[in-house]
Amino acid sequence: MNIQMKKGIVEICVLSTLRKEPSYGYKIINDISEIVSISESTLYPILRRLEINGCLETYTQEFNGRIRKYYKITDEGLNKINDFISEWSKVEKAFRFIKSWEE
Amino acid sequence: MNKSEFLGKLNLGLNNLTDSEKKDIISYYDELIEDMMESKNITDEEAIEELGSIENIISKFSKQDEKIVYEEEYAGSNKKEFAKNIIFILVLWAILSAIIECYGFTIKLAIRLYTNCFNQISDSLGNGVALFGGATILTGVLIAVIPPIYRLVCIEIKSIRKLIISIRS
Repeated sequence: MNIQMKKGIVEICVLSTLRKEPSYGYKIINDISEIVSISESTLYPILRRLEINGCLETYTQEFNGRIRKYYKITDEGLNKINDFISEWSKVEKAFRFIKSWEE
Repeated sequence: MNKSEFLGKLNLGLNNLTDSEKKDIISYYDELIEDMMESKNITDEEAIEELGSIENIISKFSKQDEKIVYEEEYAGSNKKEFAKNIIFILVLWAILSAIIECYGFTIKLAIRLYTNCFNQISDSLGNGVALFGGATILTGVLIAVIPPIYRLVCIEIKSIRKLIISIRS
């Protein structure tokens, strides 16, 4: 997939996996690996960026005697997903346009 | 490579990042490795192998693209830090000036005590010795405070230099 496109989509995918419940690094990677393969070092800056932009919050919780960092979606993050969905019709329109000039 | 070796190497490799960024990345990998070991029932060596080459990971975190994320975050705090630095430099400057002023007066006082003591020693031995004692104590104090003053001056110079560098960039 095109890098620019992938970047935007992965962000939304990450946010979507947090919609049901807060999650942690390893689980997020596994959850979204079905649609996009993403390395650990790629996910990290995405999570940071989303946190800085206020789309998610973090908290730590003990698990098996160690600390795990959990990511929780915020209202801002939910808005971002909705924006993406509502923008999709425009993307489809562009897609049809691109296709129509194919021949 | 086991987990602590891996995290140690990562720590060294991420030297150009700030301490809090480094700490965050290291705890991220620490947690990942633990999670991989538990869910896949593998050793830390195997988990680290799956993460790929450490050089690759380090270079990814040093890339410009990732830096932008950090810079965005620190842009706000940089301004605050800049103002704080200037205030710190000015306050330290004032304190240093006051200290140097006092130092000058104390030198003057010590010299006067030495000259008085030689003048008076012929009239009254007791007075002369007392003045000489006072002058000696002052001399001792003047020598003793040189290292801390020197340290303060160094801190001031360092802060000014840092400020100049931050203005340039």
